[in-house]
This record gives sequence, structure tokens and C-alpha cells, in this order.
Amino acid sequence: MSTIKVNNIENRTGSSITIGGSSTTSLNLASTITGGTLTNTPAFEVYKNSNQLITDNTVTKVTFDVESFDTNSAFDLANDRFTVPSGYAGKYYVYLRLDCDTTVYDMRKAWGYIYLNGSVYANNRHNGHSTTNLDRLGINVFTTIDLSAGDYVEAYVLIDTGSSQPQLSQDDKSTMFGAYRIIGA
Amino acid sequence: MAQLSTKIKKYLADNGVSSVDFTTDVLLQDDSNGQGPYIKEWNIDSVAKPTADQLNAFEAAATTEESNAQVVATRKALYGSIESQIENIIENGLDAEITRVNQIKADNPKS
Repeated sequence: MSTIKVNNIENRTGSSITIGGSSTTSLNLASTITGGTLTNTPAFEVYKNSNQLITDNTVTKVTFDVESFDTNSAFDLANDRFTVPSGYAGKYYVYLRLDCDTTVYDMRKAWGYIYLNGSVYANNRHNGHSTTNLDRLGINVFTTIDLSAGDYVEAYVLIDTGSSQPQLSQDDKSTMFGAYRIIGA
Repeated sequence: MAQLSTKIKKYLADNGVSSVDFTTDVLLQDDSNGQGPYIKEWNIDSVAKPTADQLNAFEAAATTEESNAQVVATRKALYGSIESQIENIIENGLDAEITRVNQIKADNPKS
């Protein structure tokens, strides 16, 4: 084992710095490190800036309008999914907030889902009684997922109302979706 | 156009099933791709999964049910709370409340 002691490492003009080669399986940092510029990327966060009408009692894919950030351009607003870029497999923290809304105070049930590759991976639910008359309900879903390159995650929602047309509302990013890769997990 | 869930409720009622849970019995999904909602899972063994034609046969009945449900919701909002209704009865008499409720019903008729 060798030790290199220097004060600064900089890239040569026109090239990047790579630590580790094709046989590298781990890279350890000193346990005393408490800060620095390590980044949890890829990372994205998107939100709605328009309401989305939802079909009653139907698990419906959530559509998003605006990206707060998308470090690797891995979230596609055209089909509302985040796809893990090549070379970025790992454990991700995924979070979803849904602003479930009605027009006549007749919401009975609201479920939020995080989908992985087209199937339910995690959900969170509020089940009211059949006579429950909620107007608006926030549902939060968060989880960690081991993702491989090419895996994709999406957000879905189910709202059950008595008669009104349910919708996802969007005040102050009240409906949003995000994820980031966890360093070292 | 009536919602898929309402037509399925009508179809099941017509086949002797009075209630359905859309998180276990029948799962509907809409992928927001312009294709609209569809039946993702049908877990009711006693009744066959309906065809599109079978569901469309309940279009009118389902539309009426949804319209009437909306009327009921509107009426409930106009009736006000139980507390306010009791207050009106105490202050103005039962006949006044009956007159008020009947007027709300007349203004918001069912189909």
C-alpha cells in the first residue's frame, strides 16, 4: 500500500480526473470527513404547475410540468419518468408528494404510488369511511430503491370521490416528485 | 361520457354484485398517454370481465347516476350543517326548514 500526500490535485487542461479503473470495486473516504463537495447525483425534482383531472377510482399516472433540477437530464417530461442513466446504478431515495383535491367535499380515499418499471414498488394510503367527506388531502410516499441502469420510476395516484371529479392540485409545488442517488449506501 | 368505474359498478350490480373495491376487486389504470383508463386487473371470479360493448350498454345509466350524485352533493352543500339546520328549526320552526329544503330540492332536481 502506498500513500500520496499532496495539497491539490487538478485536471490537465481539456481532461477530467478519474479515480479507479476497471477493476476498482470500492473507494473509501476517511471516516473523519464531514463536509466537502460530494454530490448525490443523479438527482431530479419535478412539480406540477397545472391541475390534473383524475378519473375516479382509477390508478392514474401523475404528469409533471416543470423541472426544479435534473442533473443528468434523466427525467423525461414527455412521459413523466426518471430513467437511471448508464453508469449510475445504485441505491436511490425517491420521494413523492400529492395534493389530492375535490370540488364538493366528497373524497373517500386517496392512495399514492411509486412505480418501478411499470409495477407498484411502494405506496401510501388514506382510507376514509364511505361517508367521509374530505375536501383536500396530502399524500406522501418515500422509499429507497436499488436501481440499475435503465430502470425507471414513475408516480401514480388513486382518488375515490362520491361524485365529483377528483384532481391533483399544484399550489406551491404541492404535487412534486424527486429522487437522488445515495452516496455510499 | 360516464367514468369507467361507474359503468363497472352498474355492470356488476346488473350481475348481482352490489359493491366493488377498486383497490382489490377491480384495478383500473390510466397511464396518462391519451388512451384513457382501462381494466388492469379483474379479481371477481363470480362475474366475467366485461367487454367494451357490455360496459357501453351502461353508458346512459352511469351518466344519470353521476349526474344525480352531483345533484345530491350540491343539495348537501346547500342544506348546510346539521347544527345550522337545527338552529333554523328552533328559531323559525320546522315548517320553515321544510320549505327551505324543498326549495333546494326543487332548484336542484335529479334526472
